[in-house]
Amino acid sequence: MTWIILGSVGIGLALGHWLLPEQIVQYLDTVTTTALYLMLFGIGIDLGRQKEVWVRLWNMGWKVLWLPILIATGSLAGAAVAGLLIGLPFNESTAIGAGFGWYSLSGVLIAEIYNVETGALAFITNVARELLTFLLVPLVARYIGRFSAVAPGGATAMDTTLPVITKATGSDMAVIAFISGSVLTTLVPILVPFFIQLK
Amino acid sequence: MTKVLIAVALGVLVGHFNIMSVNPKKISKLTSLCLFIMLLAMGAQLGANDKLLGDLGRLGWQALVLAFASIVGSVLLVRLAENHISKQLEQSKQKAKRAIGH
Repeated sequence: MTWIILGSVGIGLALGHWLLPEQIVQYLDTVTTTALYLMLFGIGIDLGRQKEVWVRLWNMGWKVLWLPILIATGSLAGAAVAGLLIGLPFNESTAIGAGFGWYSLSGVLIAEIYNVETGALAFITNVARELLTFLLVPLVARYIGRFSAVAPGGATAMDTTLPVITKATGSDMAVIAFISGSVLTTLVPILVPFFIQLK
Repeated sequence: MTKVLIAVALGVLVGHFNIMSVNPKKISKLTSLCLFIMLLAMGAQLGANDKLLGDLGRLGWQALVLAFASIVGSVLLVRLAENHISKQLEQSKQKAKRAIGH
């Protein structure tokens, strides 16, 4: 999946650079707007069908929600501070941070409703977050804490980075990481458009 | 912004109450197809923009700073609450065990 996603962007890049004249790029707008809303609708259906998370959340107790809330707040604050350092406006840095590692959605969402440059930055940032997660989770688990090791993965803690987290922290953290990742995944299509429209 | 949220919310309703009893595999195929169209389009817009292409190096290091800071921020906050969360969950677990015992 990762390679298909990166490959699609790469093919698009090559097409835009060497083949497509600018008029066609402009026509693309109707197609991508339609694709955006269909995709969001589909993501919504996926989220709505996931009843397993709610059952697990119920069994664990609602206090486990503190974990994704802290991860979300920390990610947004970190991104905002980084934005100040590299000279990005608050709405852009926080919207990029609100991708929580879900690079495909945060990238195309921002590219479509804001601008391509920020969308590309969101895409690369959240790819980097996933890659850094693979490197950092074992270190965080050993030197900082087991719950802290769920944080780097953000939304990806429910799928792509779940195996690394479980391996580094123990199998009893799998359910907690899955719940945290699912909650953050649900927040991405809500928080990214919210922060990007802040002035 | 509102349109985006409405699209997601409609999907959640349809998915939760299983309104259109469609095959979930078909939905995920459609979602993936739309995603690839958008990724291609994002790539094409990038590729057609020479100024942005020249800026990819800058975007790369900005991305690294943003990603690293997001991770550090989230780990820091969770670390501060680590003991509290772990205690709370231990209590919930014991409560659940006692409930099963009775």
